[in-house]
Amino acid sequence: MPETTTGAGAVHARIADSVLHIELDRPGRRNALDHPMMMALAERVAEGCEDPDVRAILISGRGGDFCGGDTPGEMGDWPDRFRHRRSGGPHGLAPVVEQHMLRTVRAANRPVVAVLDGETLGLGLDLAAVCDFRIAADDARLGDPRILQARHAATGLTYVLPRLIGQSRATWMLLTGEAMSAAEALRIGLVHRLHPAAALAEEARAFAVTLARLPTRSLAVKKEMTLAQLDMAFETAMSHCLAVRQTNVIEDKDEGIRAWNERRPPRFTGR
Amino acid sequence: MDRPSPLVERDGPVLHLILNNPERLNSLGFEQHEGLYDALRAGEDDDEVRVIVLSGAGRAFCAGDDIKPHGADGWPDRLKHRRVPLDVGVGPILLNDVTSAFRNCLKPTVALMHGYAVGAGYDYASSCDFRLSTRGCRIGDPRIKLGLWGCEGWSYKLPRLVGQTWVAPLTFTGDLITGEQAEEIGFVHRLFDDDAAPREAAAAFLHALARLDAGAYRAKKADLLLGLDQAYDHVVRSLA
Repeated sequence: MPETTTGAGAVHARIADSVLHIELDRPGRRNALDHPMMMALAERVAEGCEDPDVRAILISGRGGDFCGGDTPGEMGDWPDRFRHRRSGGPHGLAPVVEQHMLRTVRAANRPVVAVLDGETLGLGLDLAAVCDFRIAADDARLGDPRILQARHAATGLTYVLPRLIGQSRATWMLLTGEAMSAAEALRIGLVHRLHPAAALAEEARAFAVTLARLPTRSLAVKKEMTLAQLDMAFETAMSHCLAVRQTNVIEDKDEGIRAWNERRPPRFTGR
Repeated sequence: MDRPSPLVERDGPVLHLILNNPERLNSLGFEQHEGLYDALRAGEDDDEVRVIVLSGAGRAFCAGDDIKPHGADGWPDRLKHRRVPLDVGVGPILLNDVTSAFRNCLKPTVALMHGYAVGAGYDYASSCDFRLSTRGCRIGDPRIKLGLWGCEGWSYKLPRLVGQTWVAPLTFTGDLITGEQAEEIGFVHRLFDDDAAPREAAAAFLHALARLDAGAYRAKKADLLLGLDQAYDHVVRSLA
C-alpha cells in the first residue's frame, strides 16, 4: 500500500504485523481534515478491509495531536466522486465527504483503534467516536467546540455519542462545547485506556497487534451484529442473532447452485 | 442427570434458583437450561414469589455451556419446531429462548455472581434486572477466542446496559473482567467481598426488592422494555 500525500495535508499508510497504521499529517493545523484527506483516509480503510494481510487498523496523528477538527473555507477540492451531491445551505456545504469517511470507518470489518494525543476536537471527535477502541495520552483533550462557532455539524455525533456515553453526558458535551480532560474521558467511558504521552504510540501498536491475532471474521460478524442491533427492537434482534448463523449450513442452497449451473430444476431435500 | 439443577429454594417471597452442577463450575447442558426455564415459569406463576434470584452452588455462578451433552438428548419438547441446525448446532436456539424468558420476566430478577460468570453465565446475568457480584468474580464472553460468538442477544443487551464504548473490549477481545471492573462500567450494581456467601450477603437487598409493589414493578418494567425499543412519540402516547 503506497504512502499517499494529498492536498494541504497527508494521510500516510503502512502495514506491519497485520496492522494497517494510518497517520494523519497536516503540520501547523493539528491534523485538521480537509476533503482530500478525508477521501484518502476512507480509501485506505476500505482497502485495508479487503486486504488479507490487514487484520486490525490503527488511526493516529503525527506531530502531537490526533485531529483538531476541520478547516472551514479551506477544505480543498470537492471530490469528483460526489460531484452530483455537492449542495450548500445555511451551514455551508453539506457534510457528504465527512459522512463518507465516518461511515467507512464505522462499517470497517476490521477492529479499528483511534490513538488520541493532544487535541481530538470536532470532526476529530467524530472520527474517534466511530472507531471501536479509543486509547488516549493522559494529557489529551477531547471535545466538540462547533456549537461555540455556531456551526451545526451533521456528522452523526448526535447518534453515536449518546450510545457511547449515555444521553445525559452526551448532551452536556454537544451543547456546551466544553472540551474534557483525558482523565474525565476515561471516567465517563469515552476512552478505554490512558497511557503517558511518551508511551502511547508503542502501547497502541502492541494492542493493535493483539487485535490482529484474533479470529478476524468472527469479530467482523460480532461488530456487524452489534451495530445493526443498536437500531432494532428486542424481538427483532433475537431473531437476527439466530438468522445470521443459519445460511452457511443450509444444504439446499448448494443443490440450488448446482442445479442452476447444470441448467436443471433443483431437487431440494429440505435440509 | 445426576442431581436436580437448578435447586429451587424459597426464602419467604424470594425464590432462589441455584445452578447445581458444581463439579463442572455450573456449566449448562440442555436439561439445565430447560430446568431453568421451567423453574422461572413456576416462579412467575406463583403470586407468593416476589423476587427471582439466580446463583450457583460451589465455586462459580456459571462457567458457560457444557458442550459435551449437546447431542440429541434433552432437547425440550416445547421447542421441537425450532430445532433448526445452526453452524454450531442447535444449542444457541435454546439459550436464546431461555435468556429471553428471563429478560422478559416482569418480576424482579437478580443474578448473584461469584467465581465465574462466563459465556452462558454472562448471558443469563445480562438478562436479569440486577447483577450483584463478588469483587473478584471473572465475568465475560471468551467464546471469541475460539472464533465463536454467542447469539442469545448480548449484541442487543450489552450496548444498552453499559454504553457502546465497553462493547468492543468485552466482546472483541474475549478478555474477562473482574466484578470490580464490571461495577466501574455499570454492568454490576453492587459488590460483595470474595469470601462472602452471595445469598447471605444479598439477603437484605433481595428482601427490600420483595417489599416493592409487585403491580407497579411489573408496569414499570414493561414500560422500560417498551421504551428501549420504540420511538419516543410511540412510547409517550402508549403510556397516556
